[in-house]
Amino acid sequence: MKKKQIYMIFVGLSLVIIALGLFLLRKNLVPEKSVQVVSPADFVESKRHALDLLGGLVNRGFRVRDEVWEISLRPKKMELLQLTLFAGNQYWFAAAASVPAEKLKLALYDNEGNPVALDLWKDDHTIPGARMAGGIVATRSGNYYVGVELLEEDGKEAVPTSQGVPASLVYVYQ
Amino acid sequence: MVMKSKTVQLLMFFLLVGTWSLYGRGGDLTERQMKEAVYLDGISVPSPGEIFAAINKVSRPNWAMFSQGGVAPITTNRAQLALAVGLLVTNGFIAVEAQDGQQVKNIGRDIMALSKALGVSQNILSRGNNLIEFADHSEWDALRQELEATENEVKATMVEQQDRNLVTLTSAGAWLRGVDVAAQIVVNNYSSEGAALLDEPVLARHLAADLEELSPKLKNDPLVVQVRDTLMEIAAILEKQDHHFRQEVLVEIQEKASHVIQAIESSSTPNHAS
Repeated sequence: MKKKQIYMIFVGLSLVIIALGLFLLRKNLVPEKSVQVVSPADFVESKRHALDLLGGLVNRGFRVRDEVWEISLRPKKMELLQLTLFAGNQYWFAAAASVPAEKLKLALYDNEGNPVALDLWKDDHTIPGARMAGGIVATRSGNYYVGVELLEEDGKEAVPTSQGVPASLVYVYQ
Repeated sequence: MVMKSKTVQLLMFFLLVGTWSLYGRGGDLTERQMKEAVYLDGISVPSPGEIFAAINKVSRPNWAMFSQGGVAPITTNRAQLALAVGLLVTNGFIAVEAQDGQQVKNIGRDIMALSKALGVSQNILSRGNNLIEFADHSEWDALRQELEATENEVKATMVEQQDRNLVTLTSAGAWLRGVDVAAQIVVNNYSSEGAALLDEPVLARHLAADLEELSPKLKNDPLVVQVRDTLMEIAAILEKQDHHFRQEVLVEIQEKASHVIQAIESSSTPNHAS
């Protein structure tokens, strides 16, 4: 067997192993580390911060949904919530997470899982923790997914994966 | 040698394609992510106020035409009571759109009565007083907020009392009445934009699937079966239309919703799940 053949087989096998690894990760067959339980009291602060973020919009006639989505966030794992939006309505979503969270990603997806662009308000870091808000005028009625993810701030230490960070999401509509 | 090299290249190509398809295109959600998305009754099911706000943007409905109270059935059937609470909440929103304070107060009293019959009224007494106060002062936005909060409080008490089963029924009742009214409004003043607001087959299927998960006693209650079948039928009709709904399709949907609402409002339903 010539060197080139051995090299090609090696590359092929490596790709098989990489693909299998990615497949296992995707199927969550790799056990996750245990997550600390977040109690309902831990959400009080993040809920208040998320609602505060939308306070100005409520004063401008937006109506706030009564229910809050309480999320235990872990780094690099996007949590998704199913929603129904109506064409013509304007929506603003606000997410807030307590310390040690530094940065949040907020995203919206349509019923097929395609990203939908949001007008984003970025965190001004005037309070501890992380906040993010995004708005949209829905162009199509139906099913959507809103996603919240804990990101690492550049150069800062990541939140330990074993620890759930309490976060809340609220939304308003008009 | 050349053939073997081509085989390896092909293998590599399929591996790359396989990995790409497993991970999905950049930024998109995978089937698995969508399937595992959280569904929270109190937020995933839209408030009646949301669809009514959208309807107000495409037409000018005479909300007073649809404002009605007096749908509290006389029954001990808990499934029926839970469904009727949902109907009343949506009727409350309609009365707010019609700016009919007296009707809001009547509906508030009916919600309290049904909640009492269900044994879940202890936490919402103050809500009832708020509804009356806001109605007296024509505080319509506060009333919308209070109606939704009342519904959520009733559902939270159901969960506390190990009656989680009833929550889905209340949501289903509220959604069906919303569809009933929205379809009537759009049929009366048809526009494709208005019709598209009823494009909620995913939610209809989700509510029907949740009813399928109820305890055997509740699941087999004739009224619950009727509600579940109606949700499935509405979902199937919506899915067939490819996002474009003709007037006659909306009439069909409205008739189905209206038919099951009449059964919920009826006081002669058998008490299978009492």
